[in-house]
This record gives sequence, C-alpha cells and structure tokens, in this order.
Amino acid sequence: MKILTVFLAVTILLTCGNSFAKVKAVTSSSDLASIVKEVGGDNVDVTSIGQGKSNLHFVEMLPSYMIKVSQADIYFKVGLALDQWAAGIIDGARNDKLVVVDCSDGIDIIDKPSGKVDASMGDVHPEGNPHYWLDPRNGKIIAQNILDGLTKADPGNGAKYRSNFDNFTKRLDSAWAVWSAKAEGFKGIQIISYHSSWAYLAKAFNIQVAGFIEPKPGIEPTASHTAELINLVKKQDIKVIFREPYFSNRAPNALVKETGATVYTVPSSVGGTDDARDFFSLFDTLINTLLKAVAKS
Amino acid sequence: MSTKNALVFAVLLIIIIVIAGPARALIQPDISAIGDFRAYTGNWKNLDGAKSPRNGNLNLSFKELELAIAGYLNPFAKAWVTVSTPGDGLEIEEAYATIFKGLPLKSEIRAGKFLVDFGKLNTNHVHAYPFIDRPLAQRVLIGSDGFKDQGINWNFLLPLKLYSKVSLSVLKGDIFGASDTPENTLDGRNTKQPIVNGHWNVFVPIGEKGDLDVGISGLRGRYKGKYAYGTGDSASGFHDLNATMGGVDVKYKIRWDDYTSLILQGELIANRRDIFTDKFETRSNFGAFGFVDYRFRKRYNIGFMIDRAPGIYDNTADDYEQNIPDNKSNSLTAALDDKNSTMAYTIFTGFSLLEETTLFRLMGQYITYNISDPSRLVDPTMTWKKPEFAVVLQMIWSMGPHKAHEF
Repeated sequence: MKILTVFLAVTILLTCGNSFAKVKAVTSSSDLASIVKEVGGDNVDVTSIGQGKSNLHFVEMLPSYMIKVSQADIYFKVGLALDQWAAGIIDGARNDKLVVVDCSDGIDIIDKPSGKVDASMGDVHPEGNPHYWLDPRNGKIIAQNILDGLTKADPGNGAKYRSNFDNFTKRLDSAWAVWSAKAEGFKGIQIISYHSSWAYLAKAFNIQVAGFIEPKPGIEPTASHTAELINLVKKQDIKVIFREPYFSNRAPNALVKETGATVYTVPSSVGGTDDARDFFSLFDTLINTLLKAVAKS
Repeated sequence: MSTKNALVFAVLLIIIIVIAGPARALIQPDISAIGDFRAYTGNWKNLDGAKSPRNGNLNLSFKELELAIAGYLNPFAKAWVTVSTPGDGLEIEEAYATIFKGLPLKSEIRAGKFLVDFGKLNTNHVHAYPFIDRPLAQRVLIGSDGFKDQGINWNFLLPLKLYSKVSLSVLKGDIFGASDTPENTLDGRNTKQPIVNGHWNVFVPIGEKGDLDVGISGLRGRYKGKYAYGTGDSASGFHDLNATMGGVDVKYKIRWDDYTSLILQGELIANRRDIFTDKFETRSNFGAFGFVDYRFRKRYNIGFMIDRAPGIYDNTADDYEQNIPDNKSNSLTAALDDKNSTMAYTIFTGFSLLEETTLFRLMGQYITYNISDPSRLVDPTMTWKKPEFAVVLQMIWSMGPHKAHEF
C-alpha cells in the first residue's frame, strides 16, 4: 500500500510537472526569436540558430542544431528561400511532433521577380525579397504567425499567448508612431547598400536605396562595378553606405576613399550590433543611425 | 561512352527535362548537373619503367559529369539518384530511398545503393572535398570511387543531449571484389554473402566557435575465395575467407566568422583479410590520412594533406585519367599488401566564384613508394618505382540547387 501511494504521488507530480513544462521553440533567426519571446513570454524557451552577426543565407547544418530541433516542440522559419538550410536541419532532427511555422505567411512580399529566374541574376530569391522583418509593420504579421503556432503547439496557454500578442502589437503601434515621426528627419535619404537587405526598411521609412555594392545578389563586388558605384555616389552626392556586420569592409572602404561617404555598420537582425538587443531596439538603432548620418552630412 | 550507355544517359536526360517542366514546378525534385574538368601533368612511368606518354605533357580530361535528382516522395520519405559518367562508362553512383519520419527511436531506414557510413569523408561526394581526389588510403582500402554498395541501412539518434548517431548496414559486399569472375581478381569471390557495417559518431560543440566530430567504423564480411593463381584443377578450390575492417575518424572545425574557418580532419583505416594464394594466410595492414583546410574571404581555401596507403598504388593503368593516380584493379592488390606502402603529400588550394557553382582547384601531389617485399606486388619487377609528382588544375561547375553544407 505504501509503495502504491508513493507511486501515485510520483505519477501525479510528474503529470503536474508536465503541464507546467515550457514550450521549446527554435527559430531560424534572432529576429523571430525576439518576437517569440514577446508572444511566448515565460511559457516558452526559445533559441535561434541564426545569429545576429551572421549571414542568414549561409548557415551550416550542424548536428548540434539538429539535436536542438529534435528536442523542440515548434520551429519558426523565415521562409522565402532565405533559410533553405532549415529543411535539412528539421529533417535531420527526426522530430515527428515538431510544429513548423513559416513566418512569411501573409507578408506583402516585395522584389518578387517576374518571368524566368535563373542563376545569371545572381543568388536571387524566386519567391521575393526575404528580409521582410525589416519593416516593423510586418512585426504584427510575424507575431500573428507565432501566436497561431504557439497556440497549436500549446493550446492550454492560448489565452496567455493572445494576451502577450495584444501587448506586443500595442507596443509596436506606439513605437511605430515614434519611429515614423523620427523618420521625417531623414525622409528621402539616399543610401548605398551592400546587399538587398533593406528594401522593406526603405519602403517603411521612405529611404531610397540608390545602389548596391554587390553587382548582383550574392555576387562579390567587382572592380568595374565599384567604379560605376563611385561615379553614382559622386554624381548623386550620396553620403551613407549601409554595411551588414558580416560583409567585408573592403569595397565599402574603397567607396569611402574615393567619395567621402561614410560607412555605417548596421544590424540587419537582432544582435547584429550590441545596441540591437530585441525587435524594438533593432529599429531604434537603425533610425538613430540614419538621423546621425543626416546630422553629419 | 558505349552506345548502350549513351542511350541510357539520353533517356535520363529526357526524364529530367520532362520532370523539370514548368507545369510541375510545385512537385518537381531538385535536379543538379555537376561537371569536372581537369588539366594535369606529372612524371609517371609505365610498368616497364619507361616514361609514360603523359609524362611532362599537358593532359586534358573531362573527368566526370554527375546528374543528381533528389526530392521528397511523400511527407515521410525522400529519394536520391546520382548518375555519373566516370570516363567512358555510366554508373549509378547512388540510388536510394530513405524513410526519415514516423519511425521509432528517431530512426531512419535507407535502401538501395548508397555511400556507406564508413568514416566521415566517404559519405560526401568527391566534388564537395576541399581537395581534388579521394585520399589514397580510401582508394586502396574502401574503393577507388569510394565505398558504395547495395543494401539496407538503419540509423538512429541516441537519446542524449549531444548529437550521436548509430548507423548499421547490411550490404551486398562489393567492396571485397565486385567481380563475378574470380579469376580476374586476386581475392575474387565466387559466392556473394552480405557483409555488415556499422558507424557510430558523436558531435561535440567546443566553445562557441568550434565543433568536434569523432566516429568509429567497423566492417565484417565472410566470403568464398577462389585460388587466385594456378590454372585448371588447381584453380577450382574455394575457401571461406574473412575480411574485417575498422576505422576511426576525427574532424575539428573552428569558425572565426561566416567566411573564415579551419578544418583539421583525419581517418585511420585498419584492414585484416584472409587470402589464399598458394597457401592460406591472414594479412593485416592500414591506411591513414590527415589534412588541414583553411578557408578565408568566403571564396578561397588552402590546405595540406598527408596520406598513407598500404601496397604500391600504381598509376600506370589505362584508366589513369579517372584519378590522379588511379588503378582500380591495382587497388585490390594493394589492399592485400602487408609489406609495402605508398605515401602521398598533397598541397591544394581553391577559389569559388559563387559557392560551388563555379570552382577552381589547384593541387600538387608528391608520391613516394616504399617497396620492401616485391613478391607482394602485382608485378614483382616493379622495384624501379621512384617518387612521382602530379600537378592538377580542376574546374568544377554545378548547375541546379545547391544546398547548405552538412558539417
């Protein structure tokens, strides 16, 4: 009888423990992880495979990532062929119960190529520009996808996730009002970008991306293209060059030397610089950088 | 390429083109074509010790075209087909299906023809190596085109916080002599019994930037061997012969940033085989290789490899152009040689235009031969064998989807 009582007690404890267990989430990017933290709150443990200072296009399929995903309940991917490596990691994890959420669902995708897409266009994304999290308004859509995914993986805490989601979107609305007002200070500014990472940011804040350091997406800068770019920068008196932390500074520095423009190493993801700690401070950092650039010029 | 092979290849191409039709865009598998062109020179000699016609020449060779088709069969299974044209032939390199979901113990079942889990390097295709050809130790001991066989594989992840995979296979056993005509090979087999293979690896992150992958492999086969020497009645005997191989593989990679990394990798392969020539005996030998590969500025790599193979890996056969050097029939002899050895010292460097879509590699290789017992050689008069060198320039192009690289 005593043994039975102990067995029942242990079983009840284990069962209770289970119901309070946190949802384990893995994301492809630190941006998605930041929003998962907002929506999931204390109920979710989240880790990101892609790091803010790394290029999301190139992630090795490490077995250590597979083991993380094999022990996870839910995976949030960027989609639009940016994190193609995620499919290999998910398959390698062999987790039959894993819920996979594509956070690009419902996004108004830009730069979607029309007609035939081939490798002569560079490392182009046939489904459109995948850097959609860099329009803060898309944060709501991403959060909605995350809310749906978490509710599916953990329906018992659906109300909590909904409440966290509402709180996040309210904060995002307030932040958007502030950012929009600040963005008036650099309205119409022209920048040179290393990669086509900033199309969504440009659309959100009325920035003009006048040229790219890469001659085509994913293609390393060539001498002739850099020479053309120097002419463009001089002709249009462009003062700002945006460089993501993971790109080489050789070509941007060549532009600086010839034109007097300034290179700003800016985060394209949460964690890309020390200031960009979460989804909100990512945009604070970007907007403050542009304001400083205007002030300097 | 023979007419039959050309026909099969043409049919495959047509199938690929039809599959790739835009109307089927949503369900089409990934299709890739990979070409391997080489220009090379060296100071090789023929079996009689005279200079090879290729000696000192600039030799040009389109070594191989590889067609790869891969895709999901359904939510639970995937399939891969790789067909290549090594030299004049046509070969199904791999063709297998894998059930990767829905099985207990996080396990996976694979059936067909595939690169076997023996060591770390073997399961990668050669064009994904940082250097040009398979190490000599691999070519002699597990096959000049790698260890691929027909069979069934079951692998599963151990329930640990670290990634640790156990892989077990039952294979047809071509590694110990694929010929159906035993007279053609020294250890030619008359009856083919399945062989068993296993590999266990553990992957350990070392700090924030490094990873270590350590594995052990085993292989065991029992087969009927026929007298290799002698004719008539003396060649009609059969003997039960055992073959056992074991291996250790280690890979360490450290990444300083997205585009700068260093790989230290090596394998040791121990080999023990029964043989019946004019008497029964058991021979043991080993092969090993180790290399350093430094990758920098996204598109460049440079490295060095030391490689030791049992036996004298002669490079004077007609099919030389397949590899540098290569002699498939000689590799069987070398695998049974417990007295002599071949050493290769290789430096290599590479440049890629955009990942592996267009890739150039340059390799210099210096090979020395240690002949202590000429009776073990395929031609016992080959004692004149002196060190040789080769310089190879390779261009690889890859058309089609290129995926992220596995560790």
